[in-house]
Amino acid sequence: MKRAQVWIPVLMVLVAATAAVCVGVGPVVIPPARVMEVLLAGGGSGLDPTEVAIVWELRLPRVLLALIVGMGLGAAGAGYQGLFRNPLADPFVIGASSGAALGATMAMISGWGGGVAGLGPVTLAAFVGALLAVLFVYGLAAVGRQAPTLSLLLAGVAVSSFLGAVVSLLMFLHEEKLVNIVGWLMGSLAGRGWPAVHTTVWLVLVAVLGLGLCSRALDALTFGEEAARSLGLSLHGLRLSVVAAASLATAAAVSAGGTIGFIGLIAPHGARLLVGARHAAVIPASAALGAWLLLAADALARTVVAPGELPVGVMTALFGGPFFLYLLKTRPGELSG
Amino acid sequence: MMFPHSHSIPLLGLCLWLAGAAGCGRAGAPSPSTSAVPPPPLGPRAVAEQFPLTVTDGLGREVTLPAPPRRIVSLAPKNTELVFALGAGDRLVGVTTYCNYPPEAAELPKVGGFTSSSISLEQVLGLRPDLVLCAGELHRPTMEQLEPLHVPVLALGAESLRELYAELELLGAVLGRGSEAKRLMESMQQRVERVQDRLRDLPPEQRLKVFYQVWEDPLTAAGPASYLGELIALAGGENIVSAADAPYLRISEEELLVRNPDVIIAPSMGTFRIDREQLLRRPAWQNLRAVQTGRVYVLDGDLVSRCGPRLIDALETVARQLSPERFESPEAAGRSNGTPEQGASP
Repeated sequence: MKRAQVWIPVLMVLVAATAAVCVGVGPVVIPPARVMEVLLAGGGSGLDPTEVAIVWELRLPRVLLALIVGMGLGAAGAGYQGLFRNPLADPFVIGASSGAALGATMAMISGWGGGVAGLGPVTLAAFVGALLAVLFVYGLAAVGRQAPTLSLLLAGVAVSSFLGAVVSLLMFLHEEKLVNIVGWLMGSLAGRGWPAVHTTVWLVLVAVLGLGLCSRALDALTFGEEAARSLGLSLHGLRLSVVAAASLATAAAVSAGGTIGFIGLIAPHGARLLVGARHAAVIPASAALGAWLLLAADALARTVVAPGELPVGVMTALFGGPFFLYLLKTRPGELSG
Repeated sequence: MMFPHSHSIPLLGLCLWLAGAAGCGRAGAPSPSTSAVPPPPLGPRAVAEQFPLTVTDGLGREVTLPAPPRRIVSLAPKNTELVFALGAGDRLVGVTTYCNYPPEAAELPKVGGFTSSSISLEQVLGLRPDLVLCAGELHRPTMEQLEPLHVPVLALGAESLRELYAELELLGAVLGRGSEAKRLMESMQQRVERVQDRLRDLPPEQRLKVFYQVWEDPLTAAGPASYLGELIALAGGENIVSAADAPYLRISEEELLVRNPDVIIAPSMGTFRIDREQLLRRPAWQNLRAVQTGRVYVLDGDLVSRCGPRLIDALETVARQLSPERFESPEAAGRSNGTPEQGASP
């Protein structure tokens, strides 16, 4: 726990500092002093309205959303890797991303223009789709009142590819929406604005807290299911809690940012390298690391090809893939946690 | 698991194309700054009293412009061309990396590529636009993101000459360039008329069967519901795909062999270059009448893939390719003299 006491505060400071830098940088150059002025004034009068809009309506909500989404993906990844005792598990392992993709695709095709609480139809449909897909997978895997780990994984893989095929079919039949659907699938935090921040932050915080409460049980599970049961642990209850909390975080993240890959896979590995294997430390560290990674990736996504922009999901995969391979090559023993 | 649908990513290219992203290689992008640029003067006919002006755009959205627009960002090459054609190019402050015509357009600050996800909202906003011209449905995400920021957005996604004329009229009103719009429209209509005159007595059985290859893989044809379909009909061709509402249709190679077109037309541009020799060498196509007679034409994609003011150039080119004997006299094909067959993009 010693390392955790050092690293978790360090990560938090790192995240805060990176977030501050990210608000300051963008394709449009605004001096840091002016950015501070806008932030302190809260978008008040006397300032250049364009700079206020850029900092207050575009950058700040986007940076906060990257932080929240990254946190949710990092924590969910740690939860699933702990539950499945599988270093390859990620937040999308039991169908959340494909469910969200189907929901978002259907919303884009239907052209439904409604919305709730300032959230657009695509965001809402993605959220509902992610939750429904996970519920479906859980229902499929359930034997009696239990849902064995292996069945969950298998059902997750099968449902994911089935829903993926439905999305592909819809894309094929609705070519006119193809670009928008592909754009969503590649993940982006652009232009989501404050409403997305306001709702996502609560969902993710509740979910991370819920995962944190499961950490002792997840620690017990690392010794195997039999051992955990002999310690008096309800595997059924643990599975249900971890799946519920991690899916909530994933659904919130994916509805706000699209399918952003790799964060939820590599953040837990990085966290374990830094703070050891205990979940009480891994979950917050993974959340912080996820936030930091997504902040950095999004800052790159909106600046490297300036004046244009890249989808952030492409960025995370471009950097996450090699990083993961590096870990695999250099720390073979530690990855399994 | 990250990309459960990655096999459909090649379709993105097709889609880009369908949306008219035709463009040559990226032009050098001078980086824009936020420094306050004085707004260019409005034309003499911009009647400020008509504003606030409420108009209906190509997607049926009602948009209110508080004042005559002086700082316009265009998110599609054809919109850029339309604004320049109406003599209001000096009011453009930002364009896409695909906007290469007229040459001045390539010098303007860039805000991204063609799809919504490639466009930097911050870059758009940093140019302080008072009007953003989007393409159609494709840019819906960008439109939805710009609306809460109080930037007026017009969607211009014409898919027929009629819609293109309507866009000209709309832009004419918005830019205070009504008479220029009218003049341009009349000249376009006259040129269409002139082509029609040449083809007036063309008997139906002499109309050549045309396959317009919009995309190579998956093989996609321009249907009659697209502006390209309209162009083929106006140029005296008979589209091999018919009776469908979808503007663009995938067609199997087998079906193509059965329908055996007399003429194959394919656009070539920038990153999506099509080589005529390669088309002629396709093994499955060796028995096609068009290949055997060598009537495979590669067009300049920048002309034909943009439903903009230069579309008539493309019409004249295609009409001449289909019925060269009817366009023999020098003045016959209007201004289409020497439009390159091979996409000559820098």
